[in-house]
This record gives sequence, C-alpha cells and structure tokens, in this order.
Amino acid sequence: MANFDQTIVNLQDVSVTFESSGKPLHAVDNVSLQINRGDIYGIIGYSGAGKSTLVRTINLLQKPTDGKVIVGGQDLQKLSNPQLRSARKKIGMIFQHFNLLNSRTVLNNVEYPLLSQHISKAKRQAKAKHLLDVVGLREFEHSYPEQLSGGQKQRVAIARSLANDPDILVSDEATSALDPKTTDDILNLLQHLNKTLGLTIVLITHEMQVIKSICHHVAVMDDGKIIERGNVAEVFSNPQQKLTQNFVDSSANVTGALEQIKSDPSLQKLSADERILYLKFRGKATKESLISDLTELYHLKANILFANIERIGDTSIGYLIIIISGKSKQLADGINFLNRHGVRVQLLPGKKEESDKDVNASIS
Amino acid sequence: MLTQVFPNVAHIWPQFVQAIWDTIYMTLWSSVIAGVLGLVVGIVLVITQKGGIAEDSYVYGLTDKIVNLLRSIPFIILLAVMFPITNFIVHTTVGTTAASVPLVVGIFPFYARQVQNALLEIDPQVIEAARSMGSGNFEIIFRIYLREGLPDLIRASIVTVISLIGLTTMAGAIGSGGLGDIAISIGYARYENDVTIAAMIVILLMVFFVQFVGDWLAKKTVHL
Ligand SMILES: Nc1ncnc2c1ncn2[C@@H]1O[C@H](COP(=O)(O)OP(=O)(O)OP(=O)(O)O)[C@@H](O)[C@H]1O
Ligand SMILES: [Mg+2]
Repeated sequence: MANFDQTIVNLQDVSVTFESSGKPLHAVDNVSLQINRGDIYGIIGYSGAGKSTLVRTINLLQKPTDGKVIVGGQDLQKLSNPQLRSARKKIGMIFQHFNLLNSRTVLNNVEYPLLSQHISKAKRQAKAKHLLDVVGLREFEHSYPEQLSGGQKQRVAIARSLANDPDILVSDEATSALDPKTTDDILNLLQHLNKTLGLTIVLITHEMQVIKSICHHVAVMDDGKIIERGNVAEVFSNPQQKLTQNFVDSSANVTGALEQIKSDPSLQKLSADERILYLKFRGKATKESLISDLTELYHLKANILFANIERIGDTSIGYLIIIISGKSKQLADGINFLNRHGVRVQLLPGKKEESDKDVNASIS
Repeated sequence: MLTQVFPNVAHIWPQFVQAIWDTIYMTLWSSVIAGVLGLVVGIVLVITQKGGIAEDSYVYGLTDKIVNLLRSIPFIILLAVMFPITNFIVHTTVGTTAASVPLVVGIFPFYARQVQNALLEIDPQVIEAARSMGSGNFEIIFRIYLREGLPDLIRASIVTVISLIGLTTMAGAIGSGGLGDIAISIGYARYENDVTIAAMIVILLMVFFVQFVGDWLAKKTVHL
C-alpha cells in the first residue's frame, strides 16, 4: 500500500516502563515524535536517557507500555507476527558493536536478511554483492568479520541493513566505537545513502559532532523525555535547556575554556572597571566586526581569551570570551549594544561577589 | 605379546572384543538420543529464559527444575530406579539396549546444561540484530543460535560423550555388557587384574579418540 504521507515515523505518547527492583522505571516517558520521510533525525542525550529504548519501539523490538507506534502509516501494534516481521524488514538497524554473524563471511552476512525471502541464491548473492559495492567493501566478500576493522565491520552492517530495501535506517550509536576519521567516513556514507536512496535515518548519539555533521533535525533527550527538538541549527544556536547548552558548549570546546578561565587566579582579581564576558552569536553576526565597533563606539578595551566558530548545517555560531574594561556606564552601554545585535552575553564571575548571571535575560 | 602381558584377556578374547563393541554401541545410541533431547531442552531453556526470544517463565521454571532434579540423582541410583521404566520402554532390563535408557536419562540433562551455556555465550545483541531484520524464532534458532554456537556446541558434545563413556562402564553394575561390565564381573570378581587394566586402556583410547575428533571438528567449524 503506497503511502504518500510526509510523516514516516509517528510515535504518539509512547511510554516504556521497566520494573527495576520493585520500582517502576520510566525509561521513556510519554514521548511523541514525528519524523519525516527523507529526514536525518538525531536523538542526543547522555547515557541512560532512554534513547535506545525509544528507538527500539520504532520496530517494536521494545513494546511500549503505552502509546502508539505508527510507521509508514501502519499501526505496528495491530499487526500479526508475520506482518510485523515483514514491517521490520523495511526498518534497517545498525548498532554500536556491529552485531555481525562471526560464523559467516562478509557476503553471507549481507545475504542473511534475504534468506527468508523466496528468491534464488544467485539473485540473493548478486544483491549482496551490489550492496558491498555500495559500501565499498566488495573485495572483502570472502573475509570473516573478525578479519575486518571496526569501520569495515560497520560498513558490512550497513550493507546488511539495506538488504531488504528499507525505508528507514535506525542507527544506535553506530559510530561510538570508532575513531574520529572512521566516524566521518561512516557518517558520510549514511549521508550519501540518505541522498541517493531517500533513506530516512534515525540516529542516536551522545556526540554533538555526529548531530552537527549530518542531522537535519534533532531531539535532545533526558530522563525519558524529549526536552528540546527542532532544526539542528536552531536548537544548537539558541538552546533553551541547560542540557542542550552543555552539549553545545562541550562541542565548541567552550566548557574547557570556561573552566580554565574560572580557575585562573589572575582572572579572579578583576578591577572594578573590568568584566569577563562570554559572547555567543550566530548567522550574520559572525560576519560583522562587532568587537572593533564595541571598542570604538564605547571606548572600551577588549582582550580576547577564547574564540571559536562552529558551523552547524549552514549556520555559523561564534563563541567568544573577552575581558572588557572601561567606565561602568560605557560597559553597560557596550553590553546593550551587543544584545541589540543578537549577541547573547553572559557575565562571567570575575570577583567573588558576582555570580553567574545572564545579562541577556534582563534585557530581552 | 598379548598372551604374555594380558593372559586372561587373551583367554576371553572374543568376549573382550564383544565388550568393546557393546560400549561403542551404548555410547553411540545414547549420544544420539540424549544429544537430540539435550539439544532441544537446552534450546528451550535459552529461549524461554527471561529476555529470551520466546520468554516463558512457566516453561523455563519447569524445565529448569526437571533438569536440576535429574542431574542431582546419582547415576548408580538412577540405574536402579529406572528399572521398571526401562522394562516398559524396551521390554528388557539387561544388555546394552536396556542400559541405553538410564544412560540417556542420566546424560541428557547434563548435555542440556552444556548446550544452554554454549548458546548463552552468543551475544544477545546479535540476536537483537536478527530480530531487527525480521527473523522469526525458528530462523533465530537454526540460523543464529545453532550456527554461531556451533564450535561451543561441539566442545560441549565432546565433554558429554566422554562423560557418557564413563557412565556406560557404571552401567556394568546392572549387567549392561561392555567394558565396564567385563572389568567388574571378570577383572574385579576373579582377580584378573589384566582384564581390568586392558578395559581401562581401551576406554582411555576411546576418550582420546573422541577428544581428537571433537577438537578437529571444532577447529574446522570456527568459520563454517
Ligand atoms: N530491559 C530493561 N530492563 C530494565 N531496565 C532497562 C531495560 N532497558 C533499559 N533499561 C533502563 O532504561 C533506561 C534507559 O536505557 P537506554 O538503554 O534506553 O538508555 P540510552 O539513552 O540508550 O543509554 P546509552 O547511551 O547508555 O545507550 C536506563 O536506566 C536503563 O537502565
Ligand atoms: Mg543506548
């Protein structure tokens, strides 16, 4: 049955509750999630947030305690067992530890999902070989998984997940066991599959880098709930939740810089006309010469302690930690000026009396 | 040579050869039947346990208890207890065929545990991957469990067959025939020590043979 609905994954008020030592554990707590056809949807969160449990409901490997799972217009919980198994064939899945069959060759691994199909061995192998071509591992067809590197194993797993021409690919930390270079290669492959096959990808990770490099949309998960979601650039350039902010900061290396600055004794003793500011700006603000304007217009001195520009999709986000010094009236005007230009300004505690305080909040 | 070192063995030579065949016969038949039974029970234990592909706490609990119960009965007692049941099943209580019944009952629970342990070695994540690919329970049993677990299953089978050879000698106590029977009823009873020693040597050779073949098979199947 053809389905031209835009939404391919539709989780409605899904909850998964486990019994853990007598107490209920809400691994997934009333989550609704809609994913469009052709999207690359990232789900980020720390360990134990419930990411795996949530995505495992998409193919009903995990039965929800409550809620509806609609994939490709089908209510999966209403399907018979054989129907569910057919539905699962259209939802590929890859894992952190690859989960290949060690007793079978690379080719046989890729063939495995086709064994239950009524097709000839020749056709089956031709398909498997084609998929190995797609992932660039054709020459390893007669190798065994243990003879491959992690990245190669994941490629085999990807080829295997494509055997039944799925509409959706679920990736549960598929790059978490790989080094940065291999991670990039695998992400590029996934992006390529998304573009060429129109494959919808649902991707779990705890690394911002992964989300930034290929995802279009993102959901931030914490304690069984989605606490923030939307377009990747929007969510990360203007995070509403502390956890989201943490991910952004750590990915831009801001966390390390902030800690260093806070623990630097020479920066603890600021004079009354000095302020340490943490500035964040995005989009066109990164192209303007705000800092030189600031110093010229308000006669302030600025000293840059840290600077970084991140690209998320096609948006740039700049991070800047500076010390400015000048008269207190001018300092206030300067901060106002930055705010007017779409810069988020946070005053960092320089002296003991001052605490972490978001200047932006008082102005906007 | 034989007549000098093993005079009494030479004396009963045809009987001794028959005993070797009897031991092989009992071991083979019991291995096949207990092998199938143990495999099935082992698989049932794995798939019905908590988190298994056909989780069923009732079936698991019952099977688990039966296996434990059977394993805790000493074999020599089992031989006696099985007497009427053996008679009912094979209509005789002496000889190799009769001995096979308690042998099967004595060894299959042991094998079932070995199978269970071998299959539990398989990464549950691999099973999860198979489920995500739409595999049903039978596919998972035959294409994943039995295939991925094959080297371990072979090793478990070696241990089991070797234990079984040991048990066949004990079955000599109820007149099963075979090398154990000869060692007890002739070597021990008539103080013909050479018969006992010859029986022991043949048994050891059998054990080595099984171990050798098994190791070779296990090695071959690592990448089957
Ligand atoms: N089968 C289960 N039985 C009981 N509790 C479970 C089960 N599966 C998961 N949990 C619990 O549910 C919570 C969410 O687990 P989940 O694996 O979904 O987290 P995650 O976000 O994927 O974490 P990670 O990044 O470590 O993979 C955890 O507290 C976990 O202990
Ligand atoms: Mg997880």
